Amino acid sequence: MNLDQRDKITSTHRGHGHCLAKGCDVHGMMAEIYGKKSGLCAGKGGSMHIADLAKGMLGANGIVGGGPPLACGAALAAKKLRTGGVAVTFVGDGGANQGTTLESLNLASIWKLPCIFVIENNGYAEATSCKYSGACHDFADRANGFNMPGVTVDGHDFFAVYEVASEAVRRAREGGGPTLVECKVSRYYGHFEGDAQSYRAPDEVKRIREARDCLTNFAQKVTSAGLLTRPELEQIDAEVLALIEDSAGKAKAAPKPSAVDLLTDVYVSY
Amino acid sequence: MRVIHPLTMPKWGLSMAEGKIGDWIAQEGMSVESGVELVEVETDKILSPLEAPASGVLRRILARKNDLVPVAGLIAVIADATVPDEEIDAFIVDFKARFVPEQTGQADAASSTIQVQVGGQSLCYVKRGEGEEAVLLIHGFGGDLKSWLFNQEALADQLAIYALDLRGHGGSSKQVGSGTLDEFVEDVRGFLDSLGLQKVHLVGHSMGGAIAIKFALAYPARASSLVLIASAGLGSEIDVEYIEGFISAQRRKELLPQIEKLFADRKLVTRQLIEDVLKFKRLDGVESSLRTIASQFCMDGHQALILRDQLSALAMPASVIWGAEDRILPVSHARDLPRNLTVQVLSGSGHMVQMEAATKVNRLIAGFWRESQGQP
Amino acid sequence: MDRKISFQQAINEALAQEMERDSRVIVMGEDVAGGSGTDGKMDAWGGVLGVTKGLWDKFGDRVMDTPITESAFVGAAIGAATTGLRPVVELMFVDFMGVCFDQIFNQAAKFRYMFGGKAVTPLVVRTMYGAGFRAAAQHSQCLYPLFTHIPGLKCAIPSTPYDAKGLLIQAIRDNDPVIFFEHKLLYSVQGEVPEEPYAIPFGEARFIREGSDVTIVTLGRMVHIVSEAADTLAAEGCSCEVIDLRTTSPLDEDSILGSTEKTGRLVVVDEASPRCNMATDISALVAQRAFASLKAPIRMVTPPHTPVPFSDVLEDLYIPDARKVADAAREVVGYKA
Repeated sequence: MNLDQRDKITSTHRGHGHCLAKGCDVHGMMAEIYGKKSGLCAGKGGSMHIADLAKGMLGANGIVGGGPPLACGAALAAKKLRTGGVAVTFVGDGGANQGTTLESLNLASIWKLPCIFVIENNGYAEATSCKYSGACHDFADRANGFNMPGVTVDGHDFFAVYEVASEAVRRAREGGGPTLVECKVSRYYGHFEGDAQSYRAPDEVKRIREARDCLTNFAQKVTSAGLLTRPELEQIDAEVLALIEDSAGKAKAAPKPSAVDLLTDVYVSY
Repeated sequence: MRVIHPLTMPKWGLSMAEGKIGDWIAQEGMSVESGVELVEVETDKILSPLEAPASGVLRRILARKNDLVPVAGLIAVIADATVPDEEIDAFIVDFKARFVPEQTGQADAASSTIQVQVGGQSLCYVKRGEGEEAVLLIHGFGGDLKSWLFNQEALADQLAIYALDLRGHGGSSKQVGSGTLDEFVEDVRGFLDSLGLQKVHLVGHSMGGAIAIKFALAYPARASSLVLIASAGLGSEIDVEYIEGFISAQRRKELLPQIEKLFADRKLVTRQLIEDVLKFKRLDGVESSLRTIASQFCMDGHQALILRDQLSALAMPASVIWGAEDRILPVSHARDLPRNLTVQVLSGSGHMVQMEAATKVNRLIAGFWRESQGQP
Repeated sequence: MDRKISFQQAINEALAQEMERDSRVIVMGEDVAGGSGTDGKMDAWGGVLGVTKGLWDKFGDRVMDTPITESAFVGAAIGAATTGLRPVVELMFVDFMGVCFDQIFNQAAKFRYMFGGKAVTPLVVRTMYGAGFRAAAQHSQCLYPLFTHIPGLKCAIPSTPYDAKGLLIQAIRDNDPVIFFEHKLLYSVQGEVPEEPYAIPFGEARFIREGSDVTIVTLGRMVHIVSEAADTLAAEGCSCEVIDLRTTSPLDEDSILGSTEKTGRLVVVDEASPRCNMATDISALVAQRAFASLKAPIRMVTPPHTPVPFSDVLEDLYIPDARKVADAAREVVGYKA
């Protein structure tokens, strides 16, 4: 694994995948999405603010570009406290333009923070194409302006991303400072539930699903290489589906917070 | 024998330069007994009544409500009814002619506390007066040398009066070791040594009383006499809720009900008094020091160290003063003491009797010292 | 008697003593040392007005100069606070909050609540506020009402060196995000300050003076203005009870209500802009909870609803002064229904 329990991540508003990858409890996540008291955030954060600080997941963030400064802070703490940990911040192509992100690249560079900036460039920031809103085609090019390595990688290719990440994490842990990683990906669904995505060309999503789907290509590679068999992969899929169904069922049945919970945990003490 | 008695502004507090007259309790022309309350006086720190210095008629009131009077200034005149008005007038004119208010510079110089090193720790003290004989005033738990605000100046008549801050209190070091009585006794000895004081009259209040007793038993040659005011160690009862409440209070509203327990008259508890105590308690280390000390003298809701049965062994004159309304250490501890101790119980006063009935207490102490030296 | 030091020295001492006591405390901000990357002296400035001078000598790289990128470094301070450090970050002028407010009010303030009670953000943001420096509109605001408004933040506004040291030590030891407001005109004010460290609890106002005719509630630099007015009024036979809030969040409601119930008359003096400031907040509190005790309408003494002007005559008109405070007090005391 590239990351361990010392390491911290910050995410975007679309943070469930990051959460799962960092090892957050699925039942807790599901209950949180349902707004239940047993949720990771006691039902008070919801889908967009899912977090588990104990697992190093510093939160999905409802503010575009809200994560990078916080990740710089986590990296700073790791450096001062000598934990050996690194911080990874995920932003989209939209967040990549936010002042907070650019300031954070600068700060991480001058202080040589063990912070990795991952831009998930899916070509669309809400409904606007990044061809329009981004002044550069490859965000990794911005790294030059901030005196750090910039790497572009096919975000659909599991193994390519793994290699790039390993290198960036190793560099950070060894005191080499930050790296900017741009993962070129594609978004299947809209910005929000119910988004008809009429701003995209017809068939665009269909074509990407056929040619570049991450999971399809992963399965193809590991089976050809003889590392895993189809039945084994299907078994994993079935287990995951069962886990999700189970947690959804549990979440639906779980109790909601009570009126008194409205007022708690604003402060440690007041 | 004097027949005209001036009522003058006392010096409460080492930096006090003047006081403000509050409500008059007595009226001009009234017959008053010595010790009776005549008028309320206020400074920025304290609100307290002034007592009649002698019996007689309140012949003239010279300062009205809200007037500011400098320390030692004339407030009123008491005299026998037979004294003619012209003599009263002449007395007033003469007093005013000779009166010089204390310079502010003098007040500040005299009021500064002094630090002295004892056993590697810093102790803070204040000295008033000069004389061949010396007195050491020892405050109680949670107090400081300002516990003697109403007493130190008044008692400094041809005596050198020292008031110190015990470790963990006031301006002294907050390191209290194990906080035992013996450690405090050694501090007192070290303090006297470093000032070159071979023998002193001791006055102790509350826990300071217990310290004084133990010192006098351990070093009888160094204690000329003992005055014990609402002293610890004379019985097992103690209001532990007060002790715990005092230690744990961090805010005004937590501390106020505890401080009020110290006085029979709640009006004496001003906001400034509470604020001063809070300022002390907030200092890092004070809370834990107080807990350490309290754990030594309180156990299971009772006083842990009883010295009552050793009092008859005291080699020097000893006197006990107690307020009848004491809610911290009950006045019953002052009863049935060995006959070598004189005992005075003052009605209408609480645990801080030396503040609430300052004039009376000062007179009792001064009288006791004179007697113990064989003087009338 | 404690030695006398300045408001500025009291803040410096609080920082130094806490950094001594707890190695997790770090100081960050623009020019807090003031020589980073130059060939000249490190610690050349020690803060734009010298408040953090000397800290770099004692604590080296725990005192961090930052580039002029508030959202990044305030955000970094917040991220660091959430993950094990205890940063004291300086927002040089509170007027600059616009470039980093998201990090403060959407991130730091809300982590504990949004993350179900599992986040602890022991952050201190020190910031300069207030008018009278002839620094004009963008360097003279108060803005503490905006921070007071946010659930999850605490706000401390000392008026004396004693309070500055004690409230800052409390802020650093506090496990919630605290905004600590320093009035630029108070830095040279002297006062008695104990040498030992001490912490003043939040939500505990101070009674500057006791009185019976009118209650005057105020905070920050206005405490000194109000004291001046109270002296004038005392000479006229009007006895004022003056309350220094010390913190706006939490707010010492009991002291405000108790005093107003006693005097029946209230004046609130607030240097912050008049719409939605502390004066309006406190007036509403009293009107709701102590209405029956009021013998006169409440009066607020505030600047007008304008930006802070540059020209000295205009700025002096802008800032509430002792005369305006005394007039307001006379008005409520003289009020007849």
